Amino acid sequence: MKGSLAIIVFFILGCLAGQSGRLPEFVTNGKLAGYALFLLMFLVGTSIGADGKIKEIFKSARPKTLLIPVATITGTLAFSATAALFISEYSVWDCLAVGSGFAYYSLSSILIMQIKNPEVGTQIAAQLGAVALLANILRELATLVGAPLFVKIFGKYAPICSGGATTMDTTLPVIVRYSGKEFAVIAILHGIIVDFTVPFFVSFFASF
Amino acid sequence: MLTVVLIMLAGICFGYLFRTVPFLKHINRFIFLAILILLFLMGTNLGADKSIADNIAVIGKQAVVIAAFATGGSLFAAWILWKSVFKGNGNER
Repeated sequence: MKGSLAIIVFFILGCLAGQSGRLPEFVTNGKLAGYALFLLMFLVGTSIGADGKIKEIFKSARPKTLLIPVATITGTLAFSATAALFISEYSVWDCLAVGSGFAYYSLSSILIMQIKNPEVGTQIAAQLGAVALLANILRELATLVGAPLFVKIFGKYAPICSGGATTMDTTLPVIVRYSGKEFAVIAILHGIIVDFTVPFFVSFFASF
Repeated sequence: MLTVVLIMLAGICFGYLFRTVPFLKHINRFIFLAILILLFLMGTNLGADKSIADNIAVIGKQAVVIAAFATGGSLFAAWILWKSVFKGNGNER
């Protein structure tokens, strides 16, 4: 929670700095953010490669538990596509690109901005990036706040599926609390798998 | 955007090769730092873009709609899976 707060504060500071108009062009045109994204992706990769526990977690997985990330992905994508019916400004592909962030807001929004930029121009790319950022923050918040309700109505897998890519870190505590301790390993595994799909799905859908 | 995926794969190889280096234990701190820097820079992009501030109501509405569908879809799928795994026996697994 403290981490999410710091992230939001830094984001708002960035917005204010950008709005002041005093920053040089190379900062606000997205080039620098693109390099920061490369750095982040390399670090995320390194942490996956260096983590010795990941092998064990995957070994302890039963085939049935692997159905949970499949449910998360199919449910999210099917419904995200439907959302396009209610948003005249964006295509099905755009809605899918936003939805396939699976609550991983930092990565999904920056990817969308970078990929859409050369195609549709800075302005539209930045707008869709902002939608992705907000939508995926909302998804994480909904999971953090709604977990007890979700478990009651949709069963114990519900906060894991709604947490998407965040179930191995930020939303893990609420999953353990409301679904039960026995779901911790399942949630971590789910988070790793869904997390891994985000760059693939987002770049795929954003390229249409 | 193959570059991003390739960079991540390079990171995985790097991390695996140097997994015994104690420094890598603190990798999550660096990831968090990189996320903070990235979010700040993204904020500057969005803040410098007048069209975002002008359209914030529309953008907010769109974000709420997509978030509701994406979250709702995953909850629905979770419910289907939960029902089919249990088939009424109430015990887990």
